[in-house]
Amino acid sequence: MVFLTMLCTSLTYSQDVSGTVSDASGPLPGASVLVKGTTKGAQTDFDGKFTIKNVGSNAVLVFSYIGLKTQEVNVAGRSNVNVTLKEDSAELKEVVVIGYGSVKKKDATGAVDQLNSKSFDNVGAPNPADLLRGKVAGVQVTQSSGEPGAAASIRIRGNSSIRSGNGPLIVVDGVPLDGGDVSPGNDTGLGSQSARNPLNFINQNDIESLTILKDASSTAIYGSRGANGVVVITTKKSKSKEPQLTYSNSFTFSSLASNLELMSADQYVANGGKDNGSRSYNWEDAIMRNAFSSNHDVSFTKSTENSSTRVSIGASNTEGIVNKTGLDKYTFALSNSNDFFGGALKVDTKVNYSNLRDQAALISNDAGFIGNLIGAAMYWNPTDRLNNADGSYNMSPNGGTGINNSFLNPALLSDAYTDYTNTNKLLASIKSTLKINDNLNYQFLFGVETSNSTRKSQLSPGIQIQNVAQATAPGSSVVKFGQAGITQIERMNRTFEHTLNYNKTFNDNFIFDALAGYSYYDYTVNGSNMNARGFDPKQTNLIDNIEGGLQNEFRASSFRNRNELQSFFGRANATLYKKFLITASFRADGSTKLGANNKYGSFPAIGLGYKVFEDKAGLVNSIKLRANYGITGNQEFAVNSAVARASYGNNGSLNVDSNANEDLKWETTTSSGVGVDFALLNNRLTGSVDYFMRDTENLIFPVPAAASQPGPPSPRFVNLPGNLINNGVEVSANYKLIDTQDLTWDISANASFLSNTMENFAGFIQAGALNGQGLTGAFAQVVTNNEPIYSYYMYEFRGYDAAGASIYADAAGADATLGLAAKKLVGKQGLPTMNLGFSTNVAYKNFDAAVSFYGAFGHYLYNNTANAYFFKGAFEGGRNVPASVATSPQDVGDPNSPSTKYLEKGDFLRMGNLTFGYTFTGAALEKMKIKSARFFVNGQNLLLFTNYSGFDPEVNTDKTLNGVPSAGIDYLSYPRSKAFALGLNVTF
Amino acid sequence: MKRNNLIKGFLYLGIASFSIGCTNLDEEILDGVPNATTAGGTINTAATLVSAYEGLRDFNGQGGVYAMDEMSTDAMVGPTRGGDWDDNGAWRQIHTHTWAPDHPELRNAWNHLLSNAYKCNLIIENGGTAAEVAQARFLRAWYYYNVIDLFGQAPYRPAGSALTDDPKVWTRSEATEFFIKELEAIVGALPARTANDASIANKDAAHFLLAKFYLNKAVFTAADPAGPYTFAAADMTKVVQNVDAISNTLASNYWLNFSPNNNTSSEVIFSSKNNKGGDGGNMQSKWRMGSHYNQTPDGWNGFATVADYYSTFNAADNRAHYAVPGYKFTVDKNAQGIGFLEGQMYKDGVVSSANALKDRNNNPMDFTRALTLITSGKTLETAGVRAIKYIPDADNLGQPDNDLVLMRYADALLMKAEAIARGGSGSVGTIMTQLATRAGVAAAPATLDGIYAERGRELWWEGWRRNDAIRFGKFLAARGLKPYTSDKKYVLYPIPAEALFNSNISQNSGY
Repeated sequence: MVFLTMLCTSLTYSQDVSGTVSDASGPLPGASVLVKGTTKGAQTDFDGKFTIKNVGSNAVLVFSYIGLKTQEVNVAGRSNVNVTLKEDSAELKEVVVIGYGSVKKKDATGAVDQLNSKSFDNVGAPNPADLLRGKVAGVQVTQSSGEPGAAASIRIRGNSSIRSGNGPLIVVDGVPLDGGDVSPGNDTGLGSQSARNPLNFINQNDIESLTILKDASSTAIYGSRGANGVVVITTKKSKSKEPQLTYSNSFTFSSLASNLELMSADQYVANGGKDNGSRSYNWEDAIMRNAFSSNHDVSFTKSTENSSTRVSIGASNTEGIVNKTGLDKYTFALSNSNDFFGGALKVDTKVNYSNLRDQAALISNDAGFIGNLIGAAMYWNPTDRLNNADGSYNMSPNGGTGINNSFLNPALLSDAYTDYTNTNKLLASIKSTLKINDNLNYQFLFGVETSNSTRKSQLSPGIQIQNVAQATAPGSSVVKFGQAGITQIERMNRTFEHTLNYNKTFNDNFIFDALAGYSYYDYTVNGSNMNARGFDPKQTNLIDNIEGGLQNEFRASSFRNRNELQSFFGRANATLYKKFLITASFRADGSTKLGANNKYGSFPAIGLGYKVFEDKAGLVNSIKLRANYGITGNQEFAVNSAVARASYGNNGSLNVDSNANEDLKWETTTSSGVGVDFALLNNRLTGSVDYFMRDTENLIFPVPAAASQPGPPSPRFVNLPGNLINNGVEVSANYKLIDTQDLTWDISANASFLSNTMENFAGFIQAGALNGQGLTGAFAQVVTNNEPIYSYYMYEFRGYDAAGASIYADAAGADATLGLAAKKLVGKQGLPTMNLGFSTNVAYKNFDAAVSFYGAFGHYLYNNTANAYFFKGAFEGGRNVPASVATSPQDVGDPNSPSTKYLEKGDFLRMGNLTFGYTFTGAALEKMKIKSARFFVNGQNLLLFTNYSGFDPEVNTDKTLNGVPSAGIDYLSYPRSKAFALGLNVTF
Repeated sequence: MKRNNLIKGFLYLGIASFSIGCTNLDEEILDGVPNATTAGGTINTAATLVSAYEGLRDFNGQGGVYAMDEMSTDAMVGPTRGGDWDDNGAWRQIHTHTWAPDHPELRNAWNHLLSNAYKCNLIIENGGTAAEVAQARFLRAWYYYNVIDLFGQAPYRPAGSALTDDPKVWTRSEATEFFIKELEAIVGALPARTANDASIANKDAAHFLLAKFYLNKAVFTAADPAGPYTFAAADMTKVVQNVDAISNTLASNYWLNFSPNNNTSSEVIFSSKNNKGGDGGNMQSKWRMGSHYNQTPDGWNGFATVADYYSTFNAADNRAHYAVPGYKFTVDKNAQGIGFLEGQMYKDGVVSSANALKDRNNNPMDFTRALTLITSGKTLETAGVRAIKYIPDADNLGQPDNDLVLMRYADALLMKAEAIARGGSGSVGTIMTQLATRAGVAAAPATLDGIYAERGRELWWEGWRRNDAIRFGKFLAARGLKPYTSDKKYVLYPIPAEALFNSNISQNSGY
């Protein structure tokens, strides 16, 4: 009513001073405007507008808002004054989202970091995981490759599990995602390809904040799924009363970031390679391009006193730098909030729908001798032409004939391979909050996460590869080629959650709140696959006419499974004497996946805080000490691992699948940590320092099938004795160098130092499968006692002898030939021990600029690409290699055994982002009814410092071996791009 | 009032959905079937038996049990050719007796043999019909024969024990005794061999396997696995009796046993069935494992034989070289495409200079006897004499009709001759002559040395060489590409490292 009155009065006079007050996220309702030295003033309305009558032409207006920095502006005869208020020591006033609630950052007892939209609005990222990169101490984000939409691994405080299941729980608007692959993987006969990033479906433009819960006292409320940390994503709501339309776009030009130098045709010939005459080939041009991408977002918001609505639509088209790759993404988001019965009942509805269309090239994780698209382009003899004079593909490289058995024409392979994935995903939730009395409310959340993804891929019969996609009909000797596959995955996950919240301020010295809840989650997934081979040589649309395949070559398979989780949980927070903070939480989780004898696990935690200083003036402003202890769990293993399961195969055979262990129980991680949050130098320097220790026991591990023989042929999931210890230190700080009206400059930096060791562990587990010619069965890493997980285990390379044979170390450490060499732990690990991130922002009047860097250090990368393709014998066989390999003293017969020859330091520092922006102001905008407009240019991945010889040191090809993942192995991965973008944001 | 009703209504709704949610968390199996007899379940023994038979297909491939049986001897070698076939040293290690417990082929063989034995257990212990149980007991004995032969000790599960219990372990002697008793108990219950289909467990196969057990009993029960071995006359007589009980006859043509229609051979006692066009094992590896990439059928340019072994064949021996009538694929200078391939190769079954094949580096495809473990230079791809034991099925080179022969009557006859030479009672008769005549060469003497040499020629690349070499005391001896005597521990393979998670098992001596 107050707003309405003011709105009316503002319309009556025109000479009075009026304007709009905004903050970084838009118009600011409820801000106070005061004529300095008087009591005359006003509050802004729902749209941030204000009007004050009869203001003198030289009066000074004072704008203030809680949590923002007060600003004084001279009217200077104007009738219209617009201001934007800036954050004031944001870190201490900030409210951070935590599990099942929120807390003022200054009152948090746990290690919690939050990124708000303003910190990533200027940065284009293909998926939310990228936004975290380099921004939060203790969080490492590794993109598996440079492919648009490629999976990214997020690790919070290291790897606490030997096997997969090291990713954090992701909670979107209160709905925990199940984290499984949304889209199917693929196996083409030239190796398998990974599924895509399951977070692709969220539009960055719809994210209000990302919160990282790092320690047990904040994650234990998520119990069994909290062991690897939690990322809480909150989507945007409406903030404006008047209808507000925002349009933003960006246009991105990207190209290959780093060169991988192979020999030119001239070099190739000069070094003794066979000259087939052509000089036109360049391996990068053969399969790569300069890519263009565009992104458009429109959002509309509107609110009334008791409802608010936000609708947004996004469309983006991302081209990959490899031909025939890209990701088209269409998103729709709706957020609606309604109050009923005078605020007694509040209903929040969130709908998030997305359609993703992926196109992939044949870039597989485990290609063999014949390679994938990247491999084929690299090894192609550069003196061979790709096309014959008549335009047809050159099918006889190096004088070979007929079926390709050692060289694939990369242009033909690119042409012959088609791979589309179409994914529809809906995430929707309704949250009803009922206020029972002033201290107590009840909340019911119902959420649905459902997706349907279909992948269609084909290798057309135009390419004929030995033993790949080839087939013969019974009774016929005609060999046919071509392969098509259609794979579909459907997921349906339901979340039911009931919570009771109680909070009461008894007096200044005792503030108390508590939470009790019950939740039930039901996750089902089903899928099917069909495959055909042997098509007519003239057929091109295999996936659309799959019945063209040979009848005896059709294969089909299907699966379905379900997992239910049921939990009881509670939490209590108390603030005593304004100084002591106590948080205690407990969760009991039950899961269908676990053994009949161990369905439930209990996960308690406690967090303590002590505010030594709070909001003092001077050099030391605030200091808070924190300590926490808690137990979290992990149940990341395949369904039906605890029960004896068999399934039917072709021709009526019944095959034993699961190696049942009815005693399976939760993997538990006991965490403890201490930390300090500080604000110093008049709140200009803020930050925190944390130390943590995590001890994971009852390690869920697939014990190899060999141990339970005679038994099922699959590994048995057991809780292995042993401790996986992660400990580390995290430091983060922000310093405001300059903080004036016209110029601000601040610097943020974070660092984390991590160590990881297996203890009391009897096993010696192979990890890190290697692929390529001569590498069948080879592996590069092990998990064993007193070593970090994924420690490298291989021959130690010492150089070449006079005959060009590799010299390795034998068991006693002496020089030896391959036959007598001994594999050993080489004291190097695939996981980084230090992660750094720093960024700086400068704003001068209407200009802004930001740059951010991140890096990882202390780890080694295994260059499987070089291992499989770059050795003298490959050059002798007519393949291209780097010049250093062609001229090396290696003998042509010296095998490419896995050794430290291919192990390289993985340290890198990357300039992830560089942005310049300009915000338009002035009368012209107002005439066009534009509230604000900003133009920006942005560069991504413009600088990289590393000694790694492969494409990019930030790589993690999926080299899972017998269910044990790997770290730091690079194999024919999709190269990374650098990009330059232009964009515009306009608010009407 | 209204507000109270609202609160009540809402709470009821909440409680209602709460009760929908509450679950007892029993796990469902949606895309398979429960496979336990606990909690009233049953096991489909008939379908499990199909699966236990399909396990025999794993013997088709070039790795696992097959490589352990052949490549560890003088008969076969897997040289490294530049980057090709290094495979972390896996093949060289087998040939040079330098393997270790982490060797992947050892692990694969262990898992393959014993997981199939487990399927047999399921049938035997969960109410299979009498016919199913007899077949399952035979198959189990076959799988365990290989475990005993390769690894010595053999883990087992007493009937009714929980799957989560660590398996118990038989010593090599205990396992041998157990399975001899098993086979003698079931031989009567097994059906007679089906004409034109030796892939079903049968009486002849049980007699053959009993003969193998008795013949090797001295080895399997020796105090030291590396010998000396004391062959008991009674055991040798059992060998003779069991061979005599076999109803097979020799095929008139040696190569019928390895042709696409080898199911029609009267000589095949037991086989793993392959059906043309897909339903079968990886039979194509039988020609692809050695053939060059540019040969037809094209291959993977892997395994070769060793010159000394190849030299034991008389040039006239038709077991070593064979010209298939109407053969259109790669042939040697004598237009023979099957058997050992030495010298220049020619395409399309016709010897002419225009048809002379080249390797991928444009060198002549001239397979040489000269061979090193790591090849190089001009003969990088062509060093080593190759061999094709099974006649490629021209109708389907990838998924051929040839069945894999697991037991052959010629082997049984040679076992009988050997048993008699080792003191068993019976008559060798014309065994040696019969085989030699069919091969087109002079008969070898029925002495132990003569029989060992004849076994090497008659049964080349059929998976028995290691077993024979150990029994004849030749396995560890220095030879061509292993010019030293191996440590005696190598007479047994080590227990795969991963199997040692089973606390009841201890590593074989010396590893």
